[in-house]
Amino acid sequence: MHRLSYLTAVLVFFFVSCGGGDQAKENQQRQEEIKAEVQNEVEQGLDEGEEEEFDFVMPSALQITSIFSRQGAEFNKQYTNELSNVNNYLTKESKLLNLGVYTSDLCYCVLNNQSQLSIEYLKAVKKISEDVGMASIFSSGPIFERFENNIGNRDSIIYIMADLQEQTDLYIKRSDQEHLTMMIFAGAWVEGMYIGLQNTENLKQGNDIVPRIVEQMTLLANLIMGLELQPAQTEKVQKYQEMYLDLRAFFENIEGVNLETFEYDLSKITDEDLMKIKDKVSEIRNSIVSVNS
Amino acid sequence: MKHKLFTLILSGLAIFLFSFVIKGGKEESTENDTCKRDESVEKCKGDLNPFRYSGVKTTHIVSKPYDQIIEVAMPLYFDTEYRFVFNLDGLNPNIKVEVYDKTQRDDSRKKLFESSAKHFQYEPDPSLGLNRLYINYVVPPVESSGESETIEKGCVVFTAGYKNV
Repeated sequence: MHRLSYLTAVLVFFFVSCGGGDQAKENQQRQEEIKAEVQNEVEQGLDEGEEEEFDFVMPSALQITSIFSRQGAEFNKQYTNELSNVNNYLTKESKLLNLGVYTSDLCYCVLNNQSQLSIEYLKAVKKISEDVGMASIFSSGPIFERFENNIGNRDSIIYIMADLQEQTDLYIKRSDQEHLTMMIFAGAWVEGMYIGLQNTENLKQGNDIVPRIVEQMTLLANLIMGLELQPAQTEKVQKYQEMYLDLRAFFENIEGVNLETFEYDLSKITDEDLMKIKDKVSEIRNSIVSVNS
Repeated sequence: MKHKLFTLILSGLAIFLFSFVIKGGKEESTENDTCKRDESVEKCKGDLNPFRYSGVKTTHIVSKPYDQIIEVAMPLYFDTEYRFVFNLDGLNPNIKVEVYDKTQRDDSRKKLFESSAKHFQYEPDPSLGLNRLYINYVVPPVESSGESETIEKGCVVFTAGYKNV
């Protein structure tokens, strides 16, 4: 009887291991396909007409995160995306969105003087950039070395972060891939908002963070337009478009908010509205960072 | 069979001659693209200091026989100081850059700034409390010379920087 259980265990282990191996192989193959897919898009590029449809300039992840960091809340690692997730995103869309998410997490760590964690998040940003064929952002200069050498010097690190953003923008511009920026931005924006909202103990009218949250919400119109202009309207792109649209619709229905003119009356936004925004932002963010997304 | 082949060759020849006549009627246009994006970005970056880089936007301009206004929206954060640096090297000197508080669709908009220089910077007044700025590139028409036509192209490079981290 004992022998039989032992044999069963060995067999189960054997099959599970084989299955795991197949899974790993499949994942690796999928990663290669995504890299080739993005590379192919990069080679084709948008034409000038398509490029001009992106007639707006979005703020950087560093700027979004810094707006909330000014509020003085304590750093909390549990609001960032797990580093171990970085290898588990298997579609081009989830990689681009999570590149934005990790970039915001990196900025959050940097702005809160989390030296070691900043290096870990920079590694995650580098890894996911390579996965989507943007390795050249890091090869254009010794960003990693500069980052490590200046760790502890907040001002220098922030300067390097701005450089990294610039390299990303230039890479995307040179390859006429403005639409990729919008996917990355969609991830960065929601992560910045998520951290800001989670980090606020007293999310109520009168809190200094409320005007910051509301002004971020006015960026939604451009963010959604950026998703609508994606040349490949995959199921995943449409799914997130719907989620952001739902958030926008909620915000737009608040009395005193006019997203056509980007005007709003802060006094009309209730505590319940703020909680609802927090829930909806969490829902989008958790769906993006989920490895099954 | 022979008749069919003859008809096929004849129609092929007719199509070839027809396309030749059509093409001969109009001169092919050539392009003169003066956009040097990387050089312009470098120039702009140099003038952003001490503001921190936030973003860059390249707008391609193609001269047309009619007026054009190309609008770019720039979201602003409350209580943040910005500097914008523009570079129009190589473009038609009559192109103007105008900055407004509202979009061109809104008749009540106010002009905040205007320049037709090749390279300049603009810092909006934070006390205005604006959450968007609208940059308009006003491109005058170019007269068509009729026969051989050169399409004049170029780009405006716009970089944004901010303070208050």
